[in-house]
Amino acid sequence: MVGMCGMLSLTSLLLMIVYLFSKSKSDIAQAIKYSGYLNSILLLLLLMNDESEMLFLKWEWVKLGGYSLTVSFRYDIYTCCFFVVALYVTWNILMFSFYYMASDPRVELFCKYLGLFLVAMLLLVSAESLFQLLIGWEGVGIMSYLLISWWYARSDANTAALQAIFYNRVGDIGLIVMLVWSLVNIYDWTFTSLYALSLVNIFFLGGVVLAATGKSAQLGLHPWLPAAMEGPTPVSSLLHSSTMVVAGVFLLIRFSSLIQLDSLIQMVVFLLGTMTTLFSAICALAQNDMKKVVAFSTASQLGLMVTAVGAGVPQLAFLHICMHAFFKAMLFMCSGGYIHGLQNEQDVRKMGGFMNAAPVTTVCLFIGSAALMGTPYLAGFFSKDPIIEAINVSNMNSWAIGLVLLATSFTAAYSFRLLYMASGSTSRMLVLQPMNEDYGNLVGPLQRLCYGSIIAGVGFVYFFSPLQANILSLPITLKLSALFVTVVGALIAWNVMKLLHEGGEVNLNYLSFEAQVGFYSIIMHKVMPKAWMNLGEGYQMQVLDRGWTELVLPQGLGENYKLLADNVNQAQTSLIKMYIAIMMLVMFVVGLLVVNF
Amino acid sequence: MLIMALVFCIALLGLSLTQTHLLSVLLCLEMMMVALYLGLGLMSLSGLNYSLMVALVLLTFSACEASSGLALLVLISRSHGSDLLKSFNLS
Repeated sequence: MVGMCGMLSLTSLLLMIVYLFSKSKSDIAQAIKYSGYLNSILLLLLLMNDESEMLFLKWEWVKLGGYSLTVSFRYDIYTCCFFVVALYVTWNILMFSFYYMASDPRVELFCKYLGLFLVAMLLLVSAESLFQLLIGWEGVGIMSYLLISWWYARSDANTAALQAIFYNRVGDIGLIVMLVWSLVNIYDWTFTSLYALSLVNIFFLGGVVLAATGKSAQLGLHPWLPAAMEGPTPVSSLLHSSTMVVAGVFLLIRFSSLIQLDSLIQMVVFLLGTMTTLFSAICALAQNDMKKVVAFSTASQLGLMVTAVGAGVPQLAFLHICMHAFFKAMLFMCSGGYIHGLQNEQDVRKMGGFMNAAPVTTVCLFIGSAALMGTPYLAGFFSKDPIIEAINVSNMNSWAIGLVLLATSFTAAYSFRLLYMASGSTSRMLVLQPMNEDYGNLVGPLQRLCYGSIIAGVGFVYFFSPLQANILSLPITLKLSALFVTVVGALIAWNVMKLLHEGGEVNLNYLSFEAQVGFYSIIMHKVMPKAWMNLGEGYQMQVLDRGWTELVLPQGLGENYKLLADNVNQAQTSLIKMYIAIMMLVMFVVGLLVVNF
Repeated sequence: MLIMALVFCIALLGLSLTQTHLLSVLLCLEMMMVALYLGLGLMSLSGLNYSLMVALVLLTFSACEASSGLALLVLISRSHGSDLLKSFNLS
């Protein structure tokens, strides 16, 4: 049974890789759909068998003395659930990309890239050896670069892709530190031997945190995620909401048992997640580009996931990954529907009144936002509420808990703002827009993900018994705190929007703290490099190389020699007068010397 | 005698550090000769039996030398136009 499950999953992976070489995009879509079916059967078999994990060590690849590199896969509950969710979402996104990229001449290459990305991501989550994880990690990074710069003639897209690569690379340092430490200390890269450790070095855990910060856009290394919205909408919905950015959180979840051994690192993870959540939520309130609002929303939810890992409930973080994939991908697809309908207009200040023009898309946007806010019994409720309850009863910093609650209320606020400005209120778009949602490839995926957003929460919680005991006894205020702050946030946002945007006025202040993303991008990308360059070029080059070094050695010596030469030159004129004088003087001096000695 | 040595040195300085005319070189040369002559003459006054013949020879030779110097001066001023030292360039 165990072997059969493993064979099924590997067969699906191999089939997908084979189909990636085909020319037809529908072949790729079919391959992913059927792999999805195969892997969900796998999950069902796992459930029925009631086994919690299985390993499938496959192929010895390279022998390195005492250790050999293997291609080994690990299928535990995390991997299998993620396979199912990721394949379902990817299939829907592929169908959506047939609609969105229909007029693109290279759409087959696009689908191939998406498929390749999926393969790398699945390698990452099913990796047993850290080396295989690194291969998947780098793979998703490269595909992210290729996909963000899909419209490579646009300089903003190239800059954004490079930014993604740079920030991911800084995170990769952490991953490589992990590999090096584990190789040097325990001579093994597999998770089984890592879980058996009872004492972990701060370098290793620091590497884990750094890798997660880079890949999941936590506070220090976050600017690449909003910039990655330069890529086409299918890319944003697959990579930068559901799949790639959760790789960092996935790594944290895998190592959560080791993180809980070190209280300092656990505190660092907790606070990092908290600050990311709040910061991204603040910035989302002031963005005018629809996709950027959803991107900051993603960053905020990622911060919540990391906070959950820091609070000691990694299973809830994983549950949130799965739930979040559904409604976030749907939100991006709704944005894509709006953008195509408005002839590539992404600014919400030029949208409005879509409730009547695009009803299906608006409904899906509303359901997605409701799920994001944590509306009871939709998908987001089953993961977000327990996380906030767990944070409330943990013995962590209460300031941080307050920040998380504030971020939750902001989630409601910016979702409401997005809904109000994009689909409610007065219509600010240009007239005669080809707003049409009568495409099967738009409505079908939206519908499927909508069903997912509504039912997936109930489904997951019903079928999987929690691996960690839920907190069952809480005071009423703490239990309802998430719901309360969400409602308060929504109400305040409703009132503010009514007041400020009465006749369709918009806020044009783009130099505020929130709109400039905390000035982080400007400081890190412009001010600091300029300061370093001034130090280098201004001081080193101009003061030293062209100034003092020149003065002391070449030019200065030249000046000195010139002075000396001027004086010596006087004796070497060809005037008789000088020669007489020199001759007499020399005679005089010699005569004195002779007399004295 | 020491005073004559001093005069000799002053004349030497005047000869070497002269600024404008070649004639002043010749004049200083004469002054040197005079100083030497007087020195030789004064040496006999210091009580040593010293012959004064060499002083006469010196005087004769200084006269010859002065005349040859003047001849040179005439030649130079014919070829260079004047006796100013700054126009006597070797190149």
